[in-house]
Amino acid sequence: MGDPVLKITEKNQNGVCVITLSGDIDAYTAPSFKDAIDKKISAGTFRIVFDFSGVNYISSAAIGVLNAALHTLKANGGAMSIACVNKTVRDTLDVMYFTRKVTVTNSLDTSINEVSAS
Amino acid sequence: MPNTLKVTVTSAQELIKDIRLLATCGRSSFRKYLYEPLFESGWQVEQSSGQNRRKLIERLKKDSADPAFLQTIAPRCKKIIGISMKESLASLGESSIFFLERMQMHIVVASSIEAVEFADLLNRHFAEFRKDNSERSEELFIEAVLEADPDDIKSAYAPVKLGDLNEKIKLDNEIQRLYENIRIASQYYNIPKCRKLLSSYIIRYSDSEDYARDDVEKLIKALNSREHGFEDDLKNTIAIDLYYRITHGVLKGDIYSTITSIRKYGYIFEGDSSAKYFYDIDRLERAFYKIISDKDLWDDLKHKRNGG
Repeated sequence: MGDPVLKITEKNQNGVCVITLSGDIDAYTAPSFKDAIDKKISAGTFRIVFDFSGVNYISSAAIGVLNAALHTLKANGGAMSIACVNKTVRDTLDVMYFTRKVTVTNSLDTSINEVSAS
Repeated sequence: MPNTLKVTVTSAQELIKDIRLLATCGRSSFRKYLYEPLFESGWQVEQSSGQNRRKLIERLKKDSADPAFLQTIAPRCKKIIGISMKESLASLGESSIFFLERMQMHIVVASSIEAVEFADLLNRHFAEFRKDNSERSEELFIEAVLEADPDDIKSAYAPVKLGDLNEKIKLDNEIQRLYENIRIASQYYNIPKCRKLLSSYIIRYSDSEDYARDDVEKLIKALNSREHGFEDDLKNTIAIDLYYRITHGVLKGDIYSTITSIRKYGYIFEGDSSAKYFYDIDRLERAFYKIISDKDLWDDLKHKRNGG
């Protein structure tokens, strides 16, 4: 098995930080995912949309990272949304109860609009 | 020269976990990894008249409350273990766990020559068992999931539902009771009890929809400022407990316990790679999701989760 790779890019749109991910988010890549989110939150970014169109797999470790981030964002009056998930990732988010806590949409624009308006 | 070595809380807890897993694996493993190393190191002793193991334990429990007797606990535990070796493997397991629990309660016991010798001996011999067990777990887990009744897998994902007002009240009462119990325990400086109470509460409710996370965090901070290292020990306690539940579930083919514990681990440790068993559990989880996909059970799981 090669080195785990999770590609993370960021951009701003309508006052919302869009973090685009590509690869698997598991125990090996969750720490870099966590670092990326923590940096944004430390810099005062509290409205975040995750573009999951390139995510193939998500583990409970990664959902734990998202849950911690959601808690901090909400505590600071912010919001989070996840866009463009594939079926397996959506299924995992569902059975881990995470879709009860955060909105998951099929379109990046819809997620951005929701977070922007919240 | 004072003895500066000591058996840490985490080390004692890991050894207890291993002894319990050994018991699940059967008599030959128990003999090989626990009885024989102690026997070869001369721990077994003949029972003198009037030295009933149970009575010795009861007496020791009473004496533990008196600081004057603290120095005597470790040698007496060693004697109890020695006597229990002649009785049965079950007695040996119980006595060993009893000693390891005392180490977590009293630093004097954890720093004793007997405790350090005991932990060192066990750690050396358990290393092989831990390695074998970790390697077997993934294989056994896949086997267990493949053979499991789909209803068992579905029920593992049934959430703690809090839509009902009674459930909400129950949870609120639970945290109130926890506060009260911890307040009492901390008044008596009973840090091991505080750790145990918090660990049980967090494991039970962390994945529920109304987990009193902020209150729990406040408690942990307060206890950590009182007892340096409390938070780290608590994290280790939770990880060891969940890993035990997962591994025990694997060995017993208890899919419900295994999956539930994996999910709880994810929520509690939030991607903290420094948490104990972080990568072991991730491996099992990946194998599990693959089987769910292969068996096309995602929709069934979701319907079960939604009460369908």
